[in-house]
Amino acid sequence: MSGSYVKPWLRLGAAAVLGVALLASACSRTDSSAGVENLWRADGFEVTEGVTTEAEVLEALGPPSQIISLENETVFYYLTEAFRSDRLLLIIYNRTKRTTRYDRAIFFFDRSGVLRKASFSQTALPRS
Amino acid sequence: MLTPAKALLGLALAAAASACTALPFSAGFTDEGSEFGDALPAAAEDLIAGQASDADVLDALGPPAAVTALPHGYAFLYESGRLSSKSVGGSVYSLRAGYSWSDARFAIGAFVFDAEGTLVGRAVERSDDGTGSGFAIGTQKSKAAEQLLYTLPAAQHYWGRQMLRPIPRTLNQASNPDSGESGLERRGTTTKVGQRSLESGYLTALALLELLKTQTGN
Repeated sequence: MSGSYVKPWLRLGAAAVLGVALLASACSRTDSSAGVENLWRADGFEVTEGVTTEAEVLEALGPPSQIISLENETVFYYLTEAFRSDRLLLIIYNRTKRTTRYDRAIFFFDRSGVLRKASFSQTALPRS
Repeated sequence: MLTPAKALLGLALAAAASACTALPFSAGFTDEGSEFGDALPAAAEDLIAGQASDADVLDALGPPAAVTALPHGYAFLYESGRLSSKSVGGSVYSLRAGYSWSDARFAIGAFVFDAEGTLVGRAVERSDDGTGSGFAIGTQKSKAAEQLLYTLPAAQHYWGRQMLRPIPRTLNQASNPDSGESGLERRGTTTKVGQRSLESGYLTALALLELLKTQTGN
């Protein structure tokens, strides 16, 4: 045979690499996040209703995503948002899935700045 | 005969071609889905106006998607949804023919409280409807944009930026549904109702005025 002979295992390997490359180049995953860091999931963060103050929450969590003034109370609203997009584009079969998840913490303070009620999302997002 | 050089060239060409989606002819199956928020717990239906407090609602459902002050109290809004669009078809340049079908599942809960935090009214809606199906021949139109409407970042991220909007909108800040001080709005609500219509209508009027000035020279 001439010098252009390619061993079967090499041909198989090239075909496998080609297949993987085709598949990989047609798949993508995008992750992004918005909002504040969900520090309320940090070890050691605790609040006690009737005891914790606005100042202590601000000290621990930083500026809220939103502050709302109610008639008798102030609300601190913290929000972390995670967005994921999975795409599979194989020309004859195309699939896109977008998922948005939220991790929230909300605090209600009375007129004297003492915590009346706190609530956290049941599903926690991993800390970034 | 396949040589290593030919294999590498083929690999590069295949990778380049598979990254290019602007093919003049195509046919296939497309599945697009969007999902946002956690499902609204069934406990939402058990909260009774006049008996439950805001603490009961928070304990049962967690923090709401949005909070707003009202003249004599406040309100919570819970939202989650799952949308799906599927289609089978083909296209030649921008002409497309195909059959598509879709469905949308939403869970929405609105809870209104008096100033003392007692639940005075609630509305829970769970919809699980097909939004339709059909066969069509026409130009390309993506449903992705419609789904993205529901996966836009939450308004709370832009709360502090509200006062930096163009003057007409900033002056109307007290009535902005995203401020948390003036009512709630479900995602996907058309901008042709309520406060949004005032803002867009005002801006449309300004644009028309500018156009008139340009054309008349006055």
